Amino acid sequence: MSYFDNLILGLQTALSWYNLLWCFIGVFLGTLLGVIPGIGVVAAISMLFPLTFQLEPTAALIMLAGIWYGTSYGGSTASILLNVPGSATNAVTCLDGYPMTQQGRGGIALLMTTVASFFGGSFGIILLMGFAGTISAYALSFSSAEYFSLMLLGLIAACNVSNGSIIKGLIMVALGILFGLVGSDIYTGTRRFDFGILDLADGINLVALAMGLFGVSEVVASVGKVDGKQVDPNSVKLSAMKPTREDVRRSWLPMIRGSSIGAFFGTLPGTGSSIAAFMAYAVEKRVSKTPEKFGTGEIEGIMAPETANNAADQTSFIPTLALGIPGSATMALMLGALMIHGIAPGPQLMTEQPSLFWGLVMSFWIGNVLLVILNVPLIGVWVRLLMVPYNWLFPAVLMFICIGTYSVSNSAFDVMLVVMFGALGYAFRVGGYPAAPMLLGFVLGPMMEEHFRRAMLLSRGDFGTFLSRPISATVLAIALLVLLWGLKPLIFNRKPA
Amino acid sequence: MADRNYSEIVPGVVIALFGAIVAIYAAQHYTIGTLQRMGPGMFPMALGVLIAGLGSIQALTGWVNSSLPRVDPRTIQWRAALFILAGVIVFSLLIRTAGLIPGVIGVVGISAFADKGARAIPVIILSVILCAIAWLIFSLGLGMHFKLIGWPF
Repeated sequence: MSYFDNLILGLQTALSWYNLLWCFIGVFLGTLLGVIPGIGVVAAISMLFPLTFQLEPTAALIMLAGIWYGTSYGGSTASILLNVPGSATNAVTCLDGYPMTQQGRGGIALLMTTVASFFGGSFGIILLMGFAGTISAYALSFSSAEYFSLMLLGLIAACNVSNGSIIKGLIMVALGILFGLVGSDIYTGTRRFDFGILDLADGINLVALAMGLFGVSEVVASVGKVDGKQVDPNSVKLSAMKPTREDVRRSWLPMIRGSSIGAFFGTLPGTGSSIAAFMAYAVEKRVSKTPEKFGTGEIEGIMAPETANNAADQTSFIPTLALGIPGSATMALMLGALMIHGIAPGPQLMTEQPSLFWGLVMSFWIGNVLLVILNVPLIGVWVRLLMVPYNWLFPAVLMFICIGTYSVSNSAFDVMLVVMFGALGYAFRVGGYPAAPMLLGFVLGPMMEEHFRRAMLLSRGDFGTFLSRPISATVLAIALLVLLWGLKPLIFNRKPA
Repeated sequence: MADRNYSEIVPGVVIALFGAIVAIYAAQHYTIGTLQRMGPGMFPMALGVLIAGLGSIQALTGWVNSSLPRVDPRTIQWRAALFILAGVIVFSLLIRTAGLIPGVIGVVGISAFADKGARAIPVIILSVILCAIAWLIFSLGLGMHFKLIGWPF
């Protein structure tokens, strides 16, 4: 089938009523959960994850993806109006977005960030359409050694970019892999670390882990800290949203720079939209003629990061779909959804499931258009939502977490696991350990073990196989560099108190 | 004497011990195998050793480098953690025995008190509303089969 046929097939799939409906539900819920502070994208996706078991795999992925990029659109609302990021990817938008609100330009900021989000999203989708095929065709020649090395690089990069020490990130990755190993061993069927508990025979439930780690612990951390009563409803009237010609003129270059930066960080394993947004802001500040004005409501300061995070959202699908290697915690959940539906992720996905792959990609266009519609005329609705007191919202969130987890396999034990991972997650949060690497390790762990053991079997127990294959060796060398770069502050910054 | 950073040392030691236990447990209970034909115990054992090593490094950095940020115990949300976790536990205990409605009342009614300002009457109203929402979405909307309410015996 030619490239063009694939696009038509994808469009047909994405435009079927069933998929269209779930795309809408996805972006709607994504915006909703993105607007509410204290619920990040991983929590949002894991809360709605059980819903997708009832759906066809294509619709399930379309919906999850819609939630994913929808939260990036919605998250800027709280950043701009309240100075509280709706999710981590929008944290940097607060810096110039909130001052704009204080100057009475909040409406313009909201409109312009929606434009920025759409611009970045479109740029990312075009790259995804262009490069996913090439990469996956190349990846068909990869063997277990390459896969192991790539996963190792992804995990190390994920620890490095998360704020805090790389050691804590590595600890979380290792613990995540360990949790991933619970259950039957793929080669021998030996049950590992199940302690005789039947519910653990198939391993720890991904949803329970994600809900505890990201949902419950996030709610615990934000109770009593979020207050939304300070919004001025007049700032979001359509008439207050019209940007000046000056605003538009100043937004072009930041959007172009932002989307390139975002697209780059999206494809890198282990980095994602938060990093992309921060980098885009930093670059904007550097190229600006008036860097001292940043933080006082400069429009460049919201356009670049908001373009970057949406571009990164879309391009992060490239490694996930083309290689089957998720680059972030959210992508790990996407991969989990695929596997639960019995679809093997990897380079074969594009050729074996063209309607799923292209349907998903084309649905991104539809979703982004829907998001513009949802975010511009309906912005008033989302702002009202910000005014609902948090102490009414969080018990509802917990209820959805409970019922959602339970409904995955009608297991009360899974809900207990949520409690365990919730407590653990909060403790790690207090101690400054990043949670995302643990989820990434959890999903990648079993795959890494499988590839490692297969590679060693093929090489008759010789570690050299990872170094004698050029791609694997290159990837390992990059991983080593990333690791050393992360360790640098630990070795050179031994300042006495 | 250097100022030791115990918010790095204590967790580091705990994690190192945990890793050591994992490695020993894996070595005792599962076959290790050879490098060519690895048994189910090889990977977990290596992982346990890695965790032990990383935990030790963290503890060591806390020992020599006291400029790392410390945990302020006053910022820990004990009350929120307690009520929220208790709420979820109660849901887990009630869902199979007493059904969905008591489960929702349990998790909402208990966790709402994670907020210091919670009052009984609004919490009861919220529980009722959320029961209705749960029934509407999950039973009616998604057609999942839940026992709504029943006796635990």
